[in-house]
Amino acid sequence: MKKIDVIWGNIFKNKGDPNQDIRQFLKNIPLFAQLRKRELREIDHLLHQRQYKKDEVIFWQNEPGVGMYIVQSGEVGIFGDYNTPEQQSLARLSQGDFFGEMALLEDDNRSATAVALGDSKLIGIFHPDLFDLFERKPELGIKVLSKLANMLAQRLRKTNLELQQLTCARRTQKKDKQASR
Amino acid sequence: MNPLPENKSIVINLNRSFIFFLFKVFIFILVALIAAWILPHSGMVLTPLILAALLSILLNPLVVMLEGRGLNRTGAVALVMGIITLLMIWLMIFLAPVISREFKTIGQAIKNETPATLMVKLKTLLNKHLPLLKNPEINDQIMTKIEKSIYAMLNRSIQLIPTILPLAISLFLIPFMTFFLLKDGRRMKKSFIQSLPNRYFEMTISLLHKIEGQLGSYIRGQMLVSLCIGILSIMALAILGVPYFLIIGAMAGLANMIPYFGPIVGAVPAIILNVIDKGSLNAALVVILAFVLIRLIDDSLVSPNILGRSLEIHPLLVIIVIFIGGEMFGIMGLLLCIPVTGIIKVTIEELHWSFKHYRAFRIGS
Repeated sequence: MKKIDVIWGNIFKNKGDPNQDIRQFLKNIPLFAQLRKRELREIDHLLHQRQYKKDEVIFWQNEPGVGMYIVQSGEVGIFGDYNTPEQQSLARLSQGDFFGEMALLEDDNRSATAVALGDSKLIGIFHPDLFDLFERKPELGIKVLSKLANMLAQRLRKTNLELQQLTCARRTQKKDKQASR
Repeated sequence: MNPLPENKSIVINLNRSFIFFLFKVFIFILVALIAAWILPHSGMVLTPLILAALLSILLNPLVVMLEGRGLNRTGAVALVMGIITLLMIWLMIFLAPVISREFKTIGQAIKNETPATLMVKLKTLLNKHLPLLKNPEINDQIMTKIEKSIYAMLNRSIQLIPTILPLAISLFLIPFMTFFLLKDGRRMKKSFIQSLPNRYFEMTISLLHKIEGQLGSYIRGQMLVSLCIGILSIMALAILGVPYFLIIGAMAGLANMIPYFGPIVGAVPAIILNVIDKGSLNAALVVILAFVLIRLIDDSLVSPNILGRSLEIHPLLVIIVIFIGGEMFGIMGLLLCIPVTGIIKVTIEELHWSFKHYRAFRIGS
């Protein structure tokens, strides 16, 4: 149906706005919360909506990554060494969470596998489209990029804190062991 | 009810997948047959479509730049197409008198110089410079062969020239198609990606992005090189006083897009016309020297700086493709066969890369 829309859309333009709910959803995502209506419409053109069935792999570890996903509905699991005896569950994500954001900024392989834990709807935003946006709408591009950098910094700070806590816990454990000897 | 025994369910599954496989093979054969039936009749639409696609790749950076200045997509495309139309009109007004004068003199020359009179001129010229040909038997044999090949060449060139109707349709279709490809190209791409299964979806985004990037720089580079060669040829031929230098120089620039044969195709008319005009074989040498010099400038300065690491197509493949393109679609086929081969080559290379890096591509994974 969508294909026909593209061809005939210019002549028989649809007055209704089928993507209104996606924009409403995006407005509640911290990454796009500060954007205006017109800017959200521009972002909406870049997004790809995908549906995944339970246990369907979204992307595999060590494969080249092209972009990030936002969970619109359902649940997504992030796994290390998926489908191997060493499989580790790294995170469980639900509505509004996003993952794979590193691939938006660097040309590297995926560090983990993402799997739909139930029937899920995802919104994808990809590196080529984002860089195209930087060229076409630099102001909007900067807004999105600075927010993304901000969120990545928050995640890094959180990881640093967890690492510090882990190191402290290990040190205490070591001291306790030495004291008990 | 008892559940199906395990081996029975496997047989059913196998049968289902086999039927699905057969269905896929049937669809593939059907599509191939339809394509084979349509292809010979598609020249009238296919050639303008390819030209429009190449033009849209060429103009896209300009549209993106205007979008960056605050214009919306439709406005930016309309502005670019408007500027190009105005430029074409201005060029026509500016060049029309010169070109019509050149065509008039060409027409006059054709009236005065039939292949027969041309042969007489050539005969006296060769007799004068090559004493070996004074033997009447050898002379006659050579002259009959040359005359035959001139007639064959003329017939072939007339066959290659597109007839007026397809040309008029193309002139209308190309700007129309270019406008919509520029305006809606991104949405068409998105719709295509949307229709793909999840396992191929991300890989296709990466694949299309790489193909677009490589192809864009290749086509823009080729067009720019042709423009440079065209300007250099016009300048050189004007300095040498070759008649109809404007048309022949522009043709040499356009022909430069055909590898190996292009520069020869561009040089031959200039050599023949200069020899007839000046009446000496030295005139041929001077033109050959000018074209060799232009080739050297192209190989050492223009192409390396503009094209950089371009698509390398094997010479044998180039020759085969040029013959097929010329045979199937005439002049347009000759000009477009290399960019189209470039598109196919980049696609195959990127598919091969994806095959190595994405597990979705490997059968059975």
